[in-house]
Amino acid sequence: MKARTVLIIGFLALLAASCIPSLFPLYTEKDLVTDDRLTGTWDAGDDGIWIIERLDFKPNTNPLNPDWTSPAEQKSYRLKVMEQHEGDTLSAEFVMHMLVLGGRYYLNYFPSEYTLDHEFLSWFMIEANNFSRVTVSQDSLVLNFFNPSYLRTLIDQNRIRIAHIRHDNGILITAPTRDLQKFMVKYGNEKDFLLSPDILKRI
Amino acid sequence: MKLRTVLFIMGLTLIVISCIPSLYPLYRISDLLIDDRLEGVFGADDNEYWKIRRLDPEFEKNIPDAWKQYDSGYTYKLTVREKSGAMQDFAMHLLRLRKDLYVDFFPVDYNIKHEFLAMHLVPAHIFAKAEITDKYLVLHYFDMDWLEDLIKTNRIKISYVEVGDRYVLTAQTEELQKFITKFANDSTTFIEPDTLRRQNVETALTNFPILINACK
Repeated sequence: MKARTVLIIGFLALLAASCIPSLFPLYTEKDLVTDDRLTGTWDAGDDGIWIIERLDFKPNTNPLNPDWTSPAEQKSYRLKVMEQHEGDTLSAEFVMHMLVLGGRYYLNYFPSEYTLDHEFLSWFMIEANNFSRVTVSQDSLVLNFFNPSYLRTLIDQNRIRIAHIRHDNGILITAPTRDLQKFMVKYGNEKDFLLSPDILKRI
Repeated sequence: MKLRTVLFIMGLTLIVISCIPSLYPLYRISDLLIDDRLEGVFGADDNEYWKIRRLDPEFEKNIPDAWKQYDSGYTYKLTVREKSGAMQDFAMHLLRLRKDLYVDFFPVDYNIKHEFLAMHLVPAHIFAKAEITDKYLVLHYFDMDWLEDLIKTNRIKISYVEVGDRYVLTAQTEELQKFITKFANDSTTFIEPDTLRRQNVETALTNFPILINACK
């Protein structure tokens, strides 16, 4: 097997392993913050290119436009992720929020614009939230996703009680935001729960 | 303001889907049935069709891992080919609740190429009331607008969550069955039925080389 093939398989395995989808977001409106350093174009290496824009809504009196009074919507980012697959560029967009929880910074991602090749399959796919720890600087974005194996172990050993269901590809957390936050405050700094960081470089 | 409004103003579009997804299946194993009339190829032509065949674990050799959990003997394998050429397999189960037949679909062995997107999409069940004849398979999918009306007018108490622009049922199977049977004969419950016509033998045979591949 060629080294390139091994690397690709390893990469896919890492992605599959770095996924703890949740029906509910990790944030409530009061947890949200913004950081101008998030915006820009980022090189995620094998994970492609990330483009982050602030959705800078301003209240106005035009009846055709909304009054952006909700902090959750005033503090939203649009994330566009472009990946290369067999010579094609695939793009998907996400609503992204930054939040502070227990003194630590997180990003919450939720898909907003995408297409699937198979239309009937798209009926069956539920959009879920995902989140990572984040450390942002002027030139780099350091993301730590979470290890679902660790979560599975905690659940199997009855060390935590968090609402979830198991599906073919892993665990879907169904706990409401309040429970999710308690869980992340308690376990969000456990070294076995944090996967190796993905370091994105500003382009 | 709701997410959909945000997305609208961003100039984005959501996938508009009228069916109701559910985290849990509509069936328990004890509810399942076999009906030989389900097997066959349904659809207009070679480019767009549904192929349904019973999955018999005793006779399946080299069955992919994703299918190994479906060993009850009551599973049908549905392969949906779309005009674009895209193909996808689903586990399909037939059940009866009171007098009515239903089918439950769940995607198996799917591949979402965009890896980061794939982390954010979770498969759900979709079910439909079914009529089966020698020539047709008629599917009545439950209407999202109907469900929304029931929820907003407080006429039901079923577990659900609002995800994006649609509702997802989170009720477990027993609660789902009670809910479905309560409204099964209400004319407003369903969207326009999909009528799938069984292909005749000659047309089906032209699909044969593809179907052999799909069975591997």
